[in-house]
Amino acid sequence: MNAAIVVNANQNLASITSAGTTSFNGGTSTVGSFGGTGALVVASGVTVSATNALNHGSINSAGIVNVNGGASNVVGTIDGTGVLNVNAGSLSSTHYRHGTMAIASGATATIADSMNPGNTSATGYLNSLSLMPTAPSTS
Amino acid sequence: MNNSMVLDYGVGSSPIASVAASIKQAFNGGAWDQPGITSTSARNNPAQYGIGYVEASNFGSTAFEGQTFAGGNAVLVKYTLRGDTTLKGSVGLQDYNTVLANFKRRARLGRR
Repeated sequence: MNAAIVVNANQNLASITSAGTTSFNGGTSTVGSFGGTGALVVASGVTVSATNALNHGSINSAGIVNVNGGASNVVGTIDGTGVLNVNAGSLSSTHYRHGTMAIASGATATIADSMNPGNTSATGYLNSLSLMPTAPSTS
Repeated sequence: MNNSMVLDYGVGSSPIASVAASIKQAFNGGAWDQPGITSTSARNNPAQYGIGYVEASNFGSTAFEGQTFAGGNAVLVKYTLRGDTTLKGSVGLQDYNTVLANFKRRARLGRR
């Protein structure tokens, strides 16, 4: 059984590396680098920003997740009803199934390349997609 | 994107024009080298592959590539063969008939 990390209020952390579940249940938090194969769970009304790296097994968010840097961020799967802002850097995931996704100018969000185009496990589902005028997007 | 996407916009106005513009910008005459919604697989074989898009109301189903959109208001996007007017992943008689039906008509939102 993997340990769990629970954050209930504002935090400013240098890094989190976890193979378990990290839950942000309250506040606005900034984490320098996320690593590990665990699950990142963000509750509604909560904001989590990754400054330098966001590598994790999965994200399930009803809040706001900001990707603010990192040239090769990789998240296994991204689900939830929240807001995902890729403000800088590059993010790759097997699928994006989220409420709102916004990709800033110069940032990139990539559906992890599949050797089998048409693979339904990679099908994205979004309620809103915002691409800044010069933003590279899903490749 | 080398797969598919459902943009389920609910009760608001359709973002299909924005999606089309993002694909068109990335397409860049077949180079697929500009910002927007792009595809590395299409870039590697632009003569055969591209990114298609369609308003779900013209698709005839509330399910697409493993995702459902019960409300019906969605824009569907798919990496597929050029000429696939129905986003089914292949090109056949139905696509041929669509081309004939639209021959010499002004360009409309459809696929790139």
